[in-house]
Order: sequence, then structure tokens, then C-alpha cells
Amino acid sequence: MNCLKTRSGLLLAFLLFPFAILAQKPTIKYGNVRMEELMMPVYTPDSTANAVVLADVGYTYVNSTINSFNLVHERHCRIKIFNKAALDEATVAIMYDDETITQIKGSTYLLENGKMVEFKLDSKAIFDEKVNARYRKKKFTLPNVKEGAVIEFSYTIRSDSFTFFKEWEFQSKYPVLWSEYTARVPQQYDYRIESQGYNSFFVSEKKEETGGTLYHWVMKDVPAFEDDQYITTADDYISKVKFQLKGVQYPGSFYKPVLSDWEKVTKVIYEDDGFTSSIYQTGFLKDKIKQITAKHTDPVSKSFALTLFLKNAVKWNGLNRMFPAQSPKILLEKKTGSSADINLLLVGMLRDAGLPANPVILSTRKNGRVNEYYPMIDNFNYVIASVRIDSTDLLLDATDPYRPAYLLPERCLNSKGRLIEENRVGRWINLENYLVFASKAANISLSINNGKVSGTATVYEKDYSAANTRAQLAEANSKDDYVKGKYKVAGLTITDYSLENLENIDTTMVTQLSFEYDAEDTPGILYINPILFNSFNGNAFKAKHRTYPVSYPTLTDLKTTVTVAVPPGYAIEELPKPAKYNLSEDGAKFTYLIGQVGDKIQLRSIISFNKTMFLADEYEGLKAFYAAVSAKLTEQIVLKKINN
Amino acid sequence: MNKKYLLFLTLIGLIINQLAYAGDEKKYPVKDIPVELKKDADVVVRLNATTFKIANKGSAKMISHVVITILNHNGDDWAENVSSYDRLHPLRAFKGALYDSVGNVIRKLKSSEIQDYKANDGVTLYDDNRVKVASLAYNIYPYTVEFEEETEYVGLISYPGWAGYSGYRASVQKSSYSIIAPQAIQVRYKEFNLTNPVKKEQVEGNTSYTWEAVNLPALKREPFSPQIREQGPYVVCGAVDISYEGYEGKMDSWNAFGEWINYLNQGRDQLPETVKAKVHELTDGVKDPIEKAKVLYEYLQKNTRYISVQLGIGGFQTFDANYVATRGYGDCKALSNYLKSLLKEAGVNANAAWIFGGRTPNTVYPDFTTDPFNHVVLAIPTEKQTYWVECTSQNDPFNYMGSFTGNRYALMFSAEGGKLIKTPTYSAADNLLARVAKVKFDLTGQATAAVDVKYNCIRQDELSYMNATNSKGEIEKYLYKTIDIPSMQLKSFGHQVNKESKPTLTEHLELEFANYFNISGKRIFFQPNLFNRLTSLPEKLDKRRTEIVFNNATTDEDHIVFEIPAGYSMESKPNDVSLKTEFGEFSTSVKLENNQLIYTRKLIRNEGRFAPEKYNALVEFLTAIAKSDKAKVVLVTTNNPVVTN
Repeated sequence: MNCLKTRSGLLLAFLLFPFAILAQKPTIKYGNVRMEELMMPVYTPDSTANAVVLADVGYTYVNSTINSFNLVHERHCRIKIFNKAALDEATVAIMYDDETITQIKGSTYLLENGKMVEFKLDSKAIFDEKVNARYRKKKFTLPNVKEGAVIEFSYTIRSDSFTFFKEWEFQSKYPVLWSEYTARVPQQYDYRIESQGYNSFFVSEKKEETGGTLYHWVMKDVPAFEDDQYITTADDYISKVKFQLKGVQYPGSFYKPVLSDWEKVTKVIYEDDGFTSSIYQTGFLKDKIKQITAKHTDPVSKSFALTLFLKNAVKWNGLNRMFPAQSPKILLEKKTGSSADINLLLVGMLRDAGLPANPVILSTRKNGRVNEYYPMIDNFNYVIASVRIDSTDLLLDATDPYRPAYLLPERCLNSKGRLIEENRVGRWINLENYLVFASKAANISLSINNGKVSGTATVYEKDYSAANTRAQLAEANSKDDYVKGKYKVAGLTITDYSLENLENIDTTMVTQLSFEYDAEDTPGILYINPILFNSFNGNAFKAKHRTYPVSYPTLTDLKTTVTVAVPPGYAIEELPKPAKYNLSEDGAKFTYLIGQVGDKIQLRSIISFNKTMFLADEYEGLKAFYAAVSAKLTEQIVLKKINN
Repeated sequence: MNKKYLLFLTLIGLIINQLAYAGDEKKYPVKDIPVELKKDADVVVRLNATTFKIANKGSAKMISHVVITILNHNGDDWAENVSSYDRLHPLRAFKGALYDSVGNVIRKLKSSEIQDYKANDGVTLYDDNRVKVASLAYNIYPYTVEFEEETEYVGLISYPGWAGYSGYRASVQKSSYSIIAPQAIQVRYKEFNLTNPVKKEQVEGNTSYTWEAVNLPALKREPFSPQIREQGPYVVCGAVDISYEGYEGKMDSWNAFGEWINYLNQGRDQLPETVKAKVHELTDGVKDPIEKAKVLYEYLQKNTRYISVQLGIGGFQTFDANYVATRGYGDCKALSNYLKSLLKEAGVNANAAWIFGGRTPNTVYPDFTTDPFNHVVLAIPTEKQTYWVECTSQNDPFNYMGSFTGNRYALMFSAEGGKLIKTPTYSAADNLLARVAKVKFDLTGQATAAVDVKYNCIRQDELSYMNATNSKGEIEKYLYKTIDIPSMQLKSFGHQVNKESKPTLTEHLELEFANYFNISGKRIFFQPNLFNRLTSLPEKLDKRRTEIVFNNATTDEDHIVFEIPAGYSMESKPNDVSLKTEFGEFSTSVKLENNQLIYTRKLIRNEGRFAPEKYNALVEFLTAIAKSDKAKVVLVTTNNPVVTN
């Protein structure tokens, strides 16, 4: 595998600063709108675009005066509106926290009687609102925006904090003709810079200058960013550059590393006030921990017992967090808390029980990928516990009472996490477990009597499959509602059912069903669709093409066996043909076997996904696989009455 | 959209009574819940007591006290209390406590736990609506939460009403509502489904009106049912005197209420000279007033857009015409007022009208004046008929009110006062979707289809809106998502809108698909209903409780011609169906002519309210449709199969 590719197949860091390109466009000046921009009828490379960003120019630099030292970010954006569908682009909202926003300017330019007319944003039409305890928002909308208008706006953000240098997105919902970012980084501050996306730079240069370093990037003719289904998050794929403070060197003093490498990042997290507080405040639980672990001798069952205790003692409030917000005492009193509240307490309890436990920080699937090559603190948003047992790491999460202790929630299954030991040393560990599947096996048997099909089914669910079913059952209003909803087939009536091992989360869940339905028939002929309760969604992929990889949270294994008793007086007229499909060297596999044994027809279908990530160039194949499998699963058995 | 809506929703069916947290005594123990209230319930509303205390005709206080026992984790949402407030409705108190099942206090809500957010409706650029939110969710069931809050009303228009039920799977042990008003202030009310009518008492110079319900069993949601509040006892209330930010008026009739709205919004129609000149330039050559209105509506649509800013007078008063003229934007009030001003300049009389915008309209009682509105449109009355326009849309046809504002009452107001008028209604024949498709396929299962669809009136609303506001790529994605055919490729598509007052959108699609025709050996199986299958059926109920409600009447027509490969004959075909019920009509037919298999389907759905006991007949009707929709044709060849897969 190419070293520039991550597992997601995403081209990373498309060679930052390999060479400076001299060809440059003059910087766009506010108010200097050109007639051809106003008269532009359409954006030729993408004639369906409702708007195009003519220029988006950002500049970040340090402004020092006698009594202040500020990071200043200026942005100037000009957009051409082709039709009414893009009028919303004239409304801008800027979210901010400990920053000040000044110099908001905005204008609309229209062509009226062959002349350019400018309408300025009225300062009274700029609103400021408090969003919540931390953030505020500046909002404004530009006047007189119509089809054909060119709009532009600019603003300046000042900040005292140098930790997060403003990032820059080169791509938007509409195509971008020119996106340019200039960053003047003072020599005292050393930033780690990461760029991502599928588009290449037109200019990418770096120049040492008095007092610091100048970075300059331009992208030209960037296509509109399209969101896709089955990606972790759009944030992982949009073209952008981001910064993180790596070190500080004030004149006359030594270089002070801040977040220069993973060791530093790890240490900063570990030493953050809140992070370890939950781990070390477990004294009041001493007796409880003894009592829970007393029954167990081996470390695995001790770990599981403590995890189970917390799962039942505290309810997860749905918040993905890395830093705790409440002390263990309050957590156990309130009985509800975030992932950090719960799992960091778990680490503390495991340690108190004498187990070598550590926290593992990670990024949930919705939060996006963690890039191993770029130590960035804000990549993480979640924490779980781990216990070193022999030479393996047992990963534990106590937020979900419906899954066994050894099974992490799907949201956590996002490539790698960073384990932090008590001595602040960290290392990477794989979060995805290639031995555990979402597996489901169904045994169905059908018999036909007087045009009525009656049957039984036994469905076995393991691991992820069972965890999800148990969680859904807990959510459902009643078992009845759940079973009738999940095993809903038009025209089919469930006459009886039972659920086994529902409470015992460590075991295989078993669902037994009895059902009946009217056979499809025509005089003398019966048509039987043998695969009932098919949970495989053959139409999952409908888009024509795909830019991003398809990422499943878990591996999958679906087995169905069907036995059909041929009713007396009937003979097999036609059976579906056996089939075998294979994609990406067993990445996805389908086997369909069918045959007659005595007066019975036996069928076996196995669908398995043996990897979780399919790259964009495997998409065509994946789509065809889905279609072919679902077509096979609807094939019919034809039985004919014997004339005698 | 104006902000009255938010208040209306939050105040209905809420709560209260002051009470201090008493010492050690056990409160609200779960053992006090009658067993029948636990049936089908996730929560039991132990107490929901609200008092609306009117000080004078311009100010009041809403005091609410709610106690809810949460029986299982599906009820956890009820452990969260959300209180909205703004400048004219400041929140004066917000307290909470959590109890275990025995009735011991586990903890009290700390002020640091109350979060304060901007209330965001997703469309408004600026207003001052905010919410305070706190949750007492716990994980040992059952548990009980208690919330008390007090909201001040600065200015009074309508008085809040009350409903026994505010959610499904929630039984109610006791719910009460009192309005306490000085004797000089009249209170109007209209009662529905009450077991006990209002209790009136005189206390210290005040009159109190109290409604109460006890032991209401939990309700399960039923398909196609009326709003939850109508499924139990409820009361709508109203003021006689309005006093709001210095604007006084009456609300004892629709006429008076309209007069007050007009008073609030009058004199805001001065246009800049340039715009006046533009109006004359555009309309002086046009004779017919309606033609003038069409010209000016088009001018409005081209030159303005919808931007909602709510400042002053609680969001009830429009910005003046000059505001829209200079900025090119406004909200529903301002844009309606602007077009009204343009029309006035052209000598055409038009009036703004308050209306409820949304697919399921709020109830308007012709004999009882309330304020169930959240939107404004413009009405142009003539001797023969009233014309309607939606001023916030850049695309809607003149005199078309679709599923958002059609088929309901609006309150038109002018100097003559208010008048309730019904907006246009579209019949089943109007709301037509007619599809004609030609399908060809070969023995490898590869198929093509040429499809022409006509969408009329409310059937075109969604696609018309998409065409006006989305990129071609987004529309293509939408088509991929909504057309349920396996392995489909959209070769081309096109839409055309005909903006009549009964608008039509025509769609042409060229499709390629595979895996639809199931070719096994010498047979071909397929469903002739390629596009329009009813797949989800409402569950059967032993005893239906509520009326069945259908808000719109529609017609669907499908005509699909399949070209059949040579040498195949029909072995089995779905039965032709012809059904006629009070819910609608359904018919299908399949016939083979030469090498063409022709499938036709027609479904008419009626609108209306139907008695609960008709429910099983409805399910039967829908089941018959679903069964027919999924029925298959089986073709068989006498030749040896040439292709295997």
C-alpha cells in the first residue's frame, strides 16, 4: 500500500510545499467587481451550479501593539448567484467564542439598465446572538439579492489564543473558482499543519521572512463538495488545511514544545485538570469494588464484572466526551453521565481492583478520522477503558447495557485509538476487531397445504447483531410490536413467537417464529419465494458513482437455510440455480446452494462481508454485488401438480 | 414565519401551582398510582396544574407545576423540561426535583444544570426567542420528576387553553387549569369532550375558572388519527380585551380581532417614489385589476426574498413597505404588506390575511375567536371570488395555495375588520398523478423505460419546490432515492412547470435497470406495477378509538406497457381488481395484446373524517391494494430457455 494512502484510501497531505509556483493571480480587492462577473451566464465546467464562489480569500497574521498581541483572521468572499435556488448564500452566520468580530462589510452588485449598482449592507442589519453559554453568533443578510447578482462580504476575527490557528476550507457547496489562504506564522509559534481532501493545490508555497514564515495556498476551479451516504463524516473529505500549535519559542528562551508529537499531545490530555480526576477519585467505592471482584479470580472476568456494574449503575446521557464533567460521586448519585464520566471512572475502578488499566482516547465515526501522522488534539472526542492482559489489550466501554462487555459500541469502531499509560506514555491500538461479526443465522422451514404456506423460523443472533436487537427490543413499546415490526412481510401473519436469552447479554439471542401466508398460485402451479425475512437491503447503493470509500462499522455474516416440503401431489417444475459471487478477494462473498433431498427442497444462502472498508474504485463492484445478491434472493421455486 | 406560533404551541396543555419542597415527608410515591394508569404507559402524569393569573388586561402570570413518574426508559424524554421565553414572556422561576419510587427526594435541580439556548427555528435570521432546558433523567425506574415554573406575560392577546393529554403512552392522574381574572375582565372559553364542565368561583374580587380531569388512561397512537389534544378533554380560551405594547383592542369576534390586527399594521404602505414609478410603468397599460395583480406579483417574486427578522411588538407588526423596497427582503408580514402597497398604488385593493402554514392545519372555530395562526398571505377580493398569493415564495403560481396554505380558513383583515375566508380547495381529480411508461427488456434482465408523469396541484408541490431551490445534482439524487427500482440508472430526466392557478409539473424520465425481471429457467417473474406500490400497511386494531382523518383527496393513474420477448405466453397473472369504498376507489387490469402486456392502475383517495368503527374496512381496502400491487405476472416459454443466469 502506498504510504501516502491511509486505510480510507484518502490521499493525505498531497505533498505540502514541493515547489513554489510563480503564476499567481492578483489578489481580489473588495468592491472591485468586474462587469464580466455580473454578466456571467453560467459556470461552464458545471452548468448545473446555482452559484459559484468567485473568490474566497483568507489571511491570518499576528498583530502586535504595545499592549496586545493578537491573532487576526481576515476573510473576503465573493459569490455569483445564478438563480433563486442559491439566494440563501446571501445570509451569513459566523460562530465565535472568546473572539471579537469587527469590520463586517457586505455588498450586493446588480446590473441595472446596463450599469453596475451596488447596495451596501446596513450595519443595523447585523445581528449578534448568544447561542449558548460558550458561543455567540454574528448574522447578517445582504440586501437586494436577485438572480444574476454578485455578492461579497468581508470580516475580521481577532483572538488572544494562539493554540488554534484558523483553518481554511477550499471547497464549498458550490464550485469555487479561486480559494486562497495566506498564513503568516510568527517565529515564536511553531504549528503542525495538516491538509486533506481530493483536490490539488494550484499554489502551495512556504517562505521564510523576517519574524516568521509565510504560507500561501491556492486552489482553483474546485468542484462543489457533495455529501455522500456511508461515509464517516463529510469533515474527513472536504479539502482544507488545519493547524495545531506544536511549540513556542519566545525570544531569549528555549523552545517549549506544546503539542509537537503524539507524546506531547498525549501528555497534555492526561495532565489536563479534568481528565484523570475521575480515575483517582474512586476511594469511596473501595468496598464495592472488592465485593464485585471477590467472586472472580481471572483478570478478564474481574474486568467484565466491573464493566457490567457500571453499565447498570449509570446511564449514558448520549454525549460523546473525552473529558469528564462530573466527579464519580456525583455521577453515581445522578446515575447519568457522558462517555468520559463513565469510562474514566471504569479505568479508576479497574486500577483499584489491581488491574493494569488505562484510558484509550478515540474519535467516534461521526467525529471523523484520527490521522496518525498528525498529532492533533481536537481529533479526539471519546474515551474508553483498556486492561492489559498478557500481551493483549481488552477494550471496555460501559455506556451500553445491551451488549456484552467485550463488544465496543459501533460508534467507537473507527480505526485506531491512543492508549495512555499512567506514566504518560501512549501507543496506538486497533479499535476494530476482525474476529467479531454482526452475525445472524436463520433456519426456516416451510410446508404447503391447500394454498396456504405455514412455516417456522429460528433466528440466531450473535455479537453486534444481538446487541442491536437487544437495544431495539429495549426501546420498543412491547415485544409484540418489535417482533411484528422486524419480521414484517406483506401478507404474512405471525401466529406465535418466543425470544430466548433476551436478558443474558453474553449469549446468542434466539428468536422463534411460527407464521402463515397465502401461497401465490395459478391453477395447478405454486410459486414459492423461499427467502423470507430477508434483512439484506439490495437497493442500498443507488448513486451512480462515488468519490468516498464505503465504510461499515462491523464485519457481517448472514446465513439462511430453508427447507421446503413439497406437498403430496406436486413435483418440482423449476428451481433457482446455485450461485457464487465474490468481490475484492473475498471482501464480500455470497453463496447460494439449492437442491432436492427426497421430498424436500433445501436451500442455503450465505452473505458475508469480511472487510469494513471498500474504496471508491470498488464501488461499482459493490453495487453490482448488492444488486445480484438481492435478485438471487427473490428467485422463486415453481411446483406443479402431477397429473394422475 | 412570525413568532406567535412558538408560544401557542408551548402554552397549550401546560401546567401549575406554587408549592414549597416540604421536609422529610414522602411525595408522589409510585404506590399511589392506580393500576389502570400503568397500562400502555411509559409515564404517568401525576399532576399537571396550571394557573393563568390575569392582573389586568395587559399582563398576566403563568404558573405551572408538573409531576411525572417515569416508568421505563422510553419515558426519559419526559424528564426534560423545556421552557421558552423572550422579551415579552420572561421566565421568572424554574425549579425541579427528582424522587425515587418511594417518594424520597434524590436531589433538587441546581441552577447550574439549567442550560440556556437560542431557540432556533431554522429559518429566522433574528428574533429573541430562547429556551431554558433541564433534564432530571435517572436510571432506576420508576422515578418521579417535578418541575415548577413561572412565566410573565407582558401584553395579552389570547389566553392559553388546556388539554388533558399532551402525549401518547402517558396516562394522567390529575390535570387542571385555572384562569383567575379580575371581575372586570371577561374570559371566553369553548369546551370539548369534558366530563366536568368549568367550575366558576368568586375569590377576593377575582373570578376563577377551573377545568380538571382525573385518571385519564394512556393512549396508544392510532394511524391517521386527529391531533392528540383532541383525543381527550380540552378547552380553548380567549380574551375579550387585547392590550399589547400599547395597542388596545377587542377579540370577542373575528371581526374585532381583525380590526385590532389592522390597527397594529396600518399606515405602513408608503412606497419610495422610484417604486411608485415602477408600479405605473408596469401596470398603467394593463386594464384588468387581476392582470395588474399578476404583473406585480411577478415583480415581487423577481425582486424580493424571504428573510425573517422579528423585532418589536412581539413579532406581530409588519416592517413598512419602505423596508422591503430598500432591502429587497422581508418576512411573510412584510412581503404581504409590500405587495398590498404595490397593488394599492396600482389601484387594486388587497388585504393581508393571517393563516396557519403547514401540512396539518390548526383548527379554526368560526364561532369562537382564537389565534391559531403562524403565517401571513395576501388576499385579493373581487366581486366574483377572492384570489390568493403566497408572498414569501419566488416560484408559486398566482392564486395557488398548495398543501402549506390551501383548504383552510384565513383571517383577512382591513379597515372594515376581520373576516374568515376559506382558501382554495383541490379535489381528488385536481390532485392527480398520472404516469405513462413504456418498458422493454431482454432475457438477460436488462431493461429500459421511458416514463412521462404529470403531477397536478398539491402533487407537484415537492418537485416544484425542489426544482426552484435545488441543484440539478440534488434533484437527480432525489430521484434516485425515491424511485424504487433495483440497479436503476437515470439516463436523463427533465421537469417542466406550468404555473396556472392549478399548476402542473410534467416529468420525463429515461431509465435503465436490471434485476427487476426475474428470469429463472423458462419463466419470467415480475410485478407489473413498476412504480407505484403501496407497501406499508397500518396495523389491524381490535378496537379503534379515534376518528380516521385524511386531509387531502388524490388520484393516481398508472399505465404501463411492457414489450414481451418473443415466444413467451402468460402462465399466471394478477386478478383484475375493482373496488369502491367510502375511502376511495381502486382498480387494476392486466392484459396481453400481441407482444404487449398492458398494466393499468387507478387509485382515488377521498378526504374527510370517518367514524372509528370504519377502521377495519379501511385496513381491508388498503390490504387489497397492497396485495394487488405486489402481485406478479409469470411468463413462460415453450422453447428451451436460451439464456441461463
